[in-house]
Amino acid sequence: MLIATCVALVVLLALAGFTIDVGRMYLIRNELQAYADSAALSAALELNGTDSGIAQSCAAANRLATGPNAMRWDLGTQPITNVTASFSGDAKSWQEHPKQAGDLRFVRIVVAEPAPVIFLRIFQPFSSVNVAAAGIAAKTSASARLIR
Amino acid sequence: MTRKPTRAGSALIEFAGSLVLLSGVFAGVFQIGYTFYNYNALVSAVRAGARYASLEQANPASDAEAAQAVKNMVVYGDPAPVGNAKPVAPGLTPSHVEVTLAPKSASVTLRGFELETVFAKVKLDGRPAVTFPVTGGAEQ
Repeated sequence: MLIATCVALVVLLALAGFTIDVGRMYLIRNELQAYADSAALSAALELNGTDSGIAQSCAAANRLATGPNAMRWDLGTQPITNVTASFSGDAKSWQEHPKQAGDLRFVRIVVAEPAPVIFLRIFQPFSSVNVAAAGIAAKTSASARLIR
Repeated sequence: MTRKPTRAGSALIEFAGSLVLLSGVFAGVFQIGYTFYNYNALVSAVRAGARYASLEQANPASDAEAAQAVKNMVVYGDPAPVGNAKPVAPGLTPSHVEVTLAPKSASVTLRGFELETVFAKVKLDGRPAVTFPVTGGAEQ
């Protein structure tokens, strides 16, 4: 009886912990998705066919993660730091550091942050699990729109 | 003559002890899950409000009107809500929503909102915060 209770209790607590960790990951993904969408739009708006446009578009994406209204993750407590911007002319092949800025009109923002896990930590070596979100936006003649 | 000792009483005490412990654990799990659920809904609502502002800002009737529409969008998911509209999270009102409309961007966040999560309150001041660039609605 005692052994059965102990086993059941461990399983029960592990399951409860698992739900909390996974729930937290989904929450973080939602926060990062909001950032990725907004950053992709901001970056696409800055594209103008020149190299300085590429630089400005990276800066615009990073600007959303700083300042008084910065977007954050983990229930709005952690600053967003791991952002990758890549560019494309056809939304198929992506380059992080494009050599020709000429016809690039798509921007993809990938943001990946290490979501801390409390209960999954018993399965070392995980002390965090990477949670990522991506947003793609296209520059149009006067504005920009989200693709995905 | 003495009675034989039985184990019936100790089972009752064990049950009572574990009931207290387990209720605490389950209450905690519920509390965390409910907080996550509500916060997630608020992130989506604030994002929707900021995106709405970024699409509508190209032709606002007036700044105050535009800001009110954004606040309604966050709280009720509708810029012009009907009378009995329900807020996205319990206790949320448009006065908790802060809208900052700049020429090129729209920021939405919550100010001074306390999320009631049955056993405790979570103070949300400045989070969740979402900023979208102004893109205008013409091309959508």
